[in-house]
Amino acid sequence: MNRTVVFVLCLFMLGLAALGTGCTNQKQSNLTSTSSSSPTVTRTSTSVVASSDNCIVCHTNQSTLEKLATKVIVTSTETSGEG
Amino acid sequence: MPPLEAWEKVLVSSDFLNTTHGKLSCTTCHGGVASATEKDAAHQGIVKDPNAGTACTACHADIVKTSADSMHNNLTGFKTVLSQRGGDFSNPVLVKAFNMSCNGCHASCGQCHVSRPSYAGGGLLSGHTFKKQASQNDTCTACHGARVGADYYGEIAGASGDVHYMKGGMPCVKCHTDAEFHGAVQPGATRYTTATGPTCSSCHPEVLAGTSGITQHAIHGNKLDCQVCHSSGNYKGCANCHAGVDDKGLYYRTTDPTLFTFKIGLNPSKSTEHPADYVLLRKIPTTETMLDSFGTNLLPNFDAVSTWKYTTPHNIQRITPQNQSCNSCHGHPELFLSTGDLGTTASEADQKLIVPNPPGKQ
Repeated sequence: MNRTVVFVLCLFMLGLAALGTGCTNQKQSNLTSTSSSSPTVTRTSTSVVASSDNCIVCHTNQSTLEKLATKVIVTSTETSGEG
Repeated sequence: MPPLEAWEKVLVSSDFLNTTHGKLSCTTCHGGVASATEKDAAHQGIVKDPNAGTACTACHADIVKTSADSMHNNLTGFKTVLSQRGGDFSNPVLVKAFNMSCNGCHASCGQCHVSRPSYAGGGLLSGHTFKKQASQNDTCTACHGARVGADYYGEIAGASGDVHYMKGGMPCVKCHTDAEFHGAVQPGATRYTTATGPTCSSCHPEVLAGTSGITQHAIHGNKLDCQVCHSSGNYKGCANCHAGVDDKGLYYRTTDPTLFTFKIGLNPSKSTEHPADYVLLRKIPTTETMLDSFGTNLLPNFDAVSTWKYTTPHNIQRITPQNQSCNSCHGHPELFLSTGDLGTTASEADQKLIVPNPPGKQ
């Protein structure tokens, strides 16, 4: 019997604790969204910036680029005269 | 300017990686696939020359906004004169010709501040480090070198160069400002109808004010452009341009050998900024048939615009052959444009530039 009472009391206390936490979070959220003078929460961007590691590995290495870079011809050999 | 090897054009320096721009992800501006480890896969969707509207505007919105309508970006001057010659930019054939030919002179933000211009073969400057002020040799005269640069630096055989560089060491940006490079212009403008171009009187106001104490300035006033007396000799012109696409699909352009002339004529481009009656004229390569390989009659009103163009040679000297005495100019009718100079690719409008009675002609 006592164990049951203690168990129920524990559940009750846990519930109160949970409610209290929820209220606190709600309060903070309201502050953040309505009060410009009290920026208590600073949200940071969650966008993912792609790593450039793979690009940099090749593009900072001369010997790699000497093997991979290709000459692009865009002007005809028929071009003549000064422009 | 020696050409760059293919690898040199895309070699990024480690110094760049520590700059503000270098801390951005490569794909932010260039696209591509950052996670790929093979060249072709990594370069899928790559943007070699990032668009200002997407890559630059977040931090440089003011400049991007005006440069979008600047001559370097959209070649307003070319469009103006082609339209004046009857060019119809709703005609896809002319648009194709323009894009393949004229548009080679388009300069993006990156082509001045990050790499050599595409017109000069491209290739990163300083390992991708951004240059707030474009490089005079790798950027300005990479495009404006054959004529302007050669004059200015005194590279033409027998020429004396320009005193502003040869003695003054003045860089291009001393006279040509950001407002000229990035400034928006209205449709129908040319570089000689904008208020942002340099003027001699900015540094030499005493000449127009009549307080220079030089008799010739008082006599000629503002009837003569400064260059008429102070251009130090022959300057370059081009003639007989034709453009097209070869059997491999590559663009080509041909012109006659370079002309070296000094010709005084009537001002074809009178404006508030350039009001002189008498100016120097330069032969330009435009011909009635220059775009015929793309399609015929693309310039149906060719004769509306002259093929001798207002010019401001960059070979200025205080003392020149034509200003040493009155007779140095007034006794030399050959200095003035005449019918005999017009050649076979002339426009009817050229006739209007001939000085009716050049001094010294009997």
